[in-house]
Amino acid sequence: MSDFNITVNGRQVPVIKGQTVLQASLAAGIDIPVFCWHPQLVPVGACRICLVEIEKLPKLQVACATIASEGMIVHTDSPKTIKVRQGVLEFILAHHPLDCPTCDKGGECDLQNLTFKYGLDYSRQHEPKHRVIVDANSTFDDLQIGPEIIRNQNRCIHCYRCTRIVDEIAFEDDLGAYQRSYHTEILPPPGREIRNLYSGNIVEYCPVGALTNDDWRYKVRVWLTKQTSVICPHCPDGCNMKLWNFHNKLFRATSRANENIDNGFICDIGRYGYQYVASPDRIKRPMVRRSGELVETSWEEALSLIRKQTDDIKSKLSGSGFFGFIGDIRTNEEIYAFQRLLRRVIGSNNIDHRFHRRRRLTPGEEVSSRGIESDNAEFKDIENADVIVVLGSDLHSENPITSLRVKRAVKRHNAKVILLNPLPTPLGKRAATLEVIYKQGTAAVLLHGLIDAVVDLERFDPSAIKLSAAEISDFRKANAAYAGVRGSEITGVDVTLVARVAEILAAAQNVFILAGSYVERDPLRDSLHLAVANLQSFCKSARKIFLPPDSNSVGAAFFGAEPTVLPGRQSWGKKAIYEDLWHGPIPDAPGKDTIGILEAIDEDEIECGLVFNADPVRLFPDGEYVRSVMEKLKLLVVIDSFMTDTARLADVILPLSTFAEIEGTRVNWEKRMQYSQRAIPPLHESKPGCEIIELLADRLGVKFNQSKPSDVYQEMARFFPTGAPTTYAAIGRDGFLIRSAETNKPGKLAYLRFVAPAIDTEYRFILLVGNADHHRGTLTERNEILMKFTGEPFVGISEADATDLAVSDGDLVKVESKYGRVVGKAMILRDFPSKRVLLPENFGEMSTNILMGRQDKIDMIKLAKM
Amino acid sequence: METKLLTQHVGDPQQHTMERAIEHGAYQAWQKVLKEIAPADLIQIVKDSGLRGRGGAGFPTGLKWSFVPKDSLKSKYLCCNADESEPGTCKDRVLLEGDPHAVVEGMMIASYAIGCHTAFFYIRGEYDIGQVRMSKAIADAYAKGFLGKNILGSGYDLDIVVHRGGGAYICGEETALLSSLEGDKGLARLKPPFPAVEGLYRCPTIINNVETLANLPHIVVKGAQWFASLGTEKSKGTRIFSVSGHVKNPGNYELELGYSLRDLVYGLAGGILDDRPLKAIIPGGSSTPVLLPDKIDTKLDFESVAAAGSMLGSGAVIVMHEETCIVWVAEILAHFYMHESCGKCTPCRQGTGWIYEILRRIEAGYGKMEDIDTLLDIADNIEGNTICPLGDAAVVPVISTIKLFRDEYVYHIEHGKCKVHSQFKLRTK
Amino acid sequence: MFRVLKQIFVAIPIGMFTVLKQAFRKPVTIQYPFEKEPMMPRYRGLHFLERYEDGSERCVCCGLCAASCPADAIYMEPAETEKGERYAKIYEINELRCIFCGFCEEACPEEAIFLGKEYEFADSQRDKFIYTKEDLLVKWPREIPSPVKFIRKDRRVTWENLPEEQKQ
Repeated sequence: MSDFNITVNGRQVPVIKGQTVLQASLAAGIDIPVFCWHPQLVPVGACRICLVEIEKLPKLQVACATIASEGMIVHTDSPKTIKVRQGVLEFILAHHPLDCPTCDKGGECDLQNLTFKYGLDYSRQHEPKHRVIVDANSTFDDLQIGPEIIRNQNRCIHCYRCTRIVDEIAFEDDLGAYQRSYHTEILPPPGREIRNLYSGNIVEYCPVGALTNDDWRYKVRVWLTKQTSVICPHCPDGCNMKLWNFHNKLFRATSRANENIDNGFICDIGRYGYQYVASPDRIKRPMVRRSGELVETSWEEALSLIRKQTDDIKSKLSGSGFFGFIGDIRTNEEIYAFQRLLRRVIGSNNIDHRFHRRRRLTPGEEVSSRGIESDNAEFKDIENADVIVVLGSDLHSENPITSLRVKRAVKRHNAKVILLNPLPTPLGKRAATLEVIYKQGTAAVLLHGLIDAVVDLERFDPSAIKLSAAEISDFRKANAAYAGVRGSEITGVDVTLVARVAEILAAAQNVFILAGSYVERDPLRDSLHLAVANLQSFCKSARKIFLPPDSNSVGAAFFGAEPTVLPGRQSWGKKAIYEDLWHGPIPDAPGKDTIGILEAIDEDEIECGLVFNADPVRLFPDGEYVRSVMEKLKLLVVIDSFMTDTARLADVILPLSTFAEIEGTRVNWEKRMQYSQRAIPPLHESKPGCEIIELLADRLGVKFNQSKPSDVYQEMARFFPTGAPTTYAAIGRDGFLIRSAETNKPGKLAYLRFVAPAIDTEYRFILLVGNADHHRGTLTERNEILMKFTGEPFVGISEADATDLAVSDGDLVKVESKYGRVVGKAMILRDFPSKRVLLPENFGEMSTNILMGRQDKIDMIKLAKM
Repeated sequence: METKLLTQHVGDPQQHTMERAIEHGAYQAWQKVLKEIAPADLIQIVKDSGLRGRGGAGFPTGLKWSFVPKDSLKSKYLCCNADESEPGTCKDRVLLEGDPHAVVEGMMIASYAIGCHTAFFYIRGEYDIGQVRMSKAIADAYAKGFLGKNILGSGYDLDIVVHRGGGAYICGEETALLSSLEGDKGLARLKPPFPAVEGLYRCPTIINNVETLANLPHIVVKGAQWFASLGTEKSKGTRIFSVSGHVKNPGNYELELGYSLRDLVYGLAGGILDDRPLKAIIPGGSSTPVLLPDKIDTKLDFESVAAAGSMLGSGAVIVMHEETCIVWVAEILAHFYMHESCGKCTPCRQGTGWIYEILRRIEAGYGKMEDIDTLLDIADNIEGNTICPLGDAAVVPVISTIKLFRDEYVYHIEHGKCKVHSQFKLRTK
Repeated sequence: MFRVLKQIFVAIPIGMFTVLKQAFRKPVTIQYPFEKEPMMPRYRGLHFLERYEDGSERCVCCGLCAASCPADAIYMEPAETEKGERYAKIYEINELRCIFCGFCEEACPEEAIFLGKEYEFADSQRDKFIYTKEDLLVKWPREIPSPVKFIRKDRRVTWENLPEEQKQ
């Protein structure tokens, strides 16, 4: 609510304390032109077009930087203001080239719009326009300053939005302004290109066509396109985007500024990552295997084949002879319909969406270890924290927009950032106060050692936390083996560094812990989760988030894609509700998880499987084992958009539509459900997931009459908290949060038992997997633009190891483990710990999972030059 | 008659050494300040003396110092602005090369007054000798114990850091100077917040000119009343005027404020070259309006020059006799401003370039009648609408020369050649 | 009775003489298709796409003609040449949709599209009326000089082709 009023053009405008004249006017609907102002950047007052007249002040003031004070009387349309505005536009246009016919920004150009609204319609300039010539032979002055960004300096109006975005928001140093006066040029530093992960934003926010990107260049005019609002499918941040399409071809993706999540900035993976929709490698028609080869066929034939074979298998093994895998990238409707298909129609509870877990859990263990979950938290809680701990996560590559939020907390609130990772990450160079590298597999020991160091400090105040002195001292005694120097020997982290981290934690008022994929893949995953909960108990006020691996993992977990829970996270006792809802029986006992399923196939207990947009052959850590197991199946039905490694082993393939061709909802890591529209109708003969599932269900005997996602949503709505929207139209911009009540009360402290893994004398290197620059997951390699940034896989090694092996950048090296080998080009990484190797998991030509064994805790390899 | 206060020892080639400077009384004021005067009293002394900034704006120095918030927990900083780039001005150079210890001492006194413990000395990159001498002077001061920790046992610490500029006039503007000192490009910043409240690294900062600081030792030693006795009612003390142009004896002359311009030009500077009649005179550096010969009797102090229609500015007197083409003068000054604009705000960046190009066209003989009105309109669009005063300064030569010498512009446009050159049958350029 | 006589002896002969008079006058009819009257200078007929003096196309595929066309008769797709310049990869006008208003000619910023004097392009099949870029471009080398008086003779103004009075 407003604190006081100011008068603008005779109207009373409410103002919240601290707002500028511009912010208050825009909120009230009064239009003041801007070029260099942006809601997320610090105002600089560089363009001078927002000059307004404020009474009692001698000169005109810039509305974007003048804080509104009570009683101000502002005129935005006085003759003096109008004249100055025309003057500023005249100055800009004096040297702005007449490029409108060929400029990609035409139709959405701020300069065009403002000139039409406020400018003069004649020119009194007789001098030739300044020109920055790039190529003397061409009449076009476009310079490629990065793999995707093209700059035309003549059109630049020097608003400096681009350099400010790169500097203030992304904390990068890729772009700067060189020279002075009107010779100022926007360039990356000499010898470099602009290729940071957020570089596409400068194109979106450049007011004119000075910065353009290759995917929109000379393709279409903006007034011909239609926009649809979608949610990005690549990571669990769930940024809001717009897809622009014309004649059912997608041309670009831009941001749809949502202050809850992305604040108007999206990463390049989301921005250019829609291209795989139109990839020529898509599966166009259903395929069946005849005499060993996959041949294209019709939907009718594929479905009847499925029906025949499932009938055979069901008669032998009943429902438990089937399993289903679903990928985390699908929408909630598809996930819900899929698990319903398996449970109600086929009669199997063997369903899972998690492919990284190696250790088999009995159902009982699985349920009890579920106790440690993420707290309820949102993006804005990151900003309000004063210490952010990033544990086991390459946040920059896995959750780029969360990483931006961390940087925002650093910039605006001087937050401290502590990284605890098994390898150095890009966020460390840019925003971290302290970066701690621990030995892979010892994260739990590190955390326990950290807790001990915190308690040891003088400034530690036991009364601030909710543990009794007895509990603390018991804990310290049990922890003695992991504290101090003994802990350092295990983790490889220096004692003084641990003490510094402890200092920061002990002084923190509000801690936010983000745990990522290296926590998920840690061999002591469950102990690590408990260790994080322990750490939380020792902080004055802390929240933790276990970042989910993929964009809708939260949705998959919530809507029942796991063997031991039913949709809405209901326990098995409530099964009667579902039998009632679905008009039929569902199996009594909980099913098997991923590894249970694989072992069951190996033992011939399961013979048929439905794999829905998942690729266990590529993802599960033991590639050869999965491949051999999958080949044993009598019927493998793969529903996917591309010919994945799993699809190559399939008996029936059904083509699936991608995210841009379906509508549905997704849940991000905040547990916020958001709605994504359909941009283009399904390409080729692919069908949306809900439709395929309805066809299968119908063919297998049960009609749900819910082939449209909106119908499925209606049924799903009963699992939402009360008051949640039940139709798509009712889901607003903010989405809604699906949360259970706070599950994490500070519970009992858990004690750690750590056994160091055996040292192998032959395989001395530790294998770490991560994401290559501008890649995430397995779909990004199908986008030609993202492949321009990193086009091929690499083998990341440290400088010390490179010298030992006499390897330099680009040399072929062989990475070998007990299970398989991989060959790739070496890339020497700065500040990388020795005796470790980093492999990207984004490229089909380099399968990292064939190097891993499912019984192993840590993957060890040996490295040799080819 | 010159009043040699600041320049009394610059003739001595050894003045820049510590021994000679001390012989001549250097650092007496500093020791007096440390022993006897509290910072608040020091500010009052400077206020009473009526010392005004010598950089060009003429803001009362004591008043500026008092803007520093006393209860702020942030560090306070002092910057000495030795980025002297105003065309025609070379007064600071005399002090930096001839009497650097006076400047160092002035910095010390100013730092003490505002409670600063790290002072910065920003010198224009082109002043090589000045930078060498100042650095040596500062090093000698450290050696003698006048700088560093617990100076002379008083408990006060002070460090001075020398920073060389890269060659930009804009870095003489205080916010651009702070940007450059912080390591960024020298781009001007918005004011408010003012540097005295939020300046270098968002801490309170005072920026003073070299000449202003050089006056401080004399004020401390001889007293505020003595200083106030020099000069006029509102403009106290002396100034060094750099006289250049068509005079017989160009150079730096230190005069009491209130000295007559006629006496300076025709007396000390020896009169016009070849005794030609005077055509125009710029009293305070290129950012000040041009004066016609009928204002030759103006007294050189802030008020009188302002009343005559110009500004005292940086004290650079540029004299032009009858054979000067005023359009050409305006053109080369416009070139200077175009070249030195920082490029942040649109009116200055584009406008100065446009003004220069129009003037070049007029001077070459391709002008049109509308150009004069266009120039005045552009100037009107720039003035007051820029972030820093460079925009205002850039339009001053244009506006004042068109106002006073419109006939020359018209002649250039109508006849396509220079009135002055045709008149004196000079060789064409 | 007088009235009837007036009719018989005055009105009818006048009519008949008028007929006779006109019968011997030269007819205005033009015997098309053997004689063809040239069209007025501003007549709007079939479109043609112009070129510069070195043969390169003028059209940069900016989309303004398509945007201004009230009948939505123009379709185009831009692309990039090796020199980095923008040109029309596909440019089609559906002459059956076109109403020959001339808005495209007015809207074009590059003096690329004009409506000429050609009106004899009837055909018997609808799809023959989609005129592609190749159909619309003027022939190169020119057989007859261009009827258009161009303002811009070359794509980018360079020192050489600047008119004398603007040089300084």
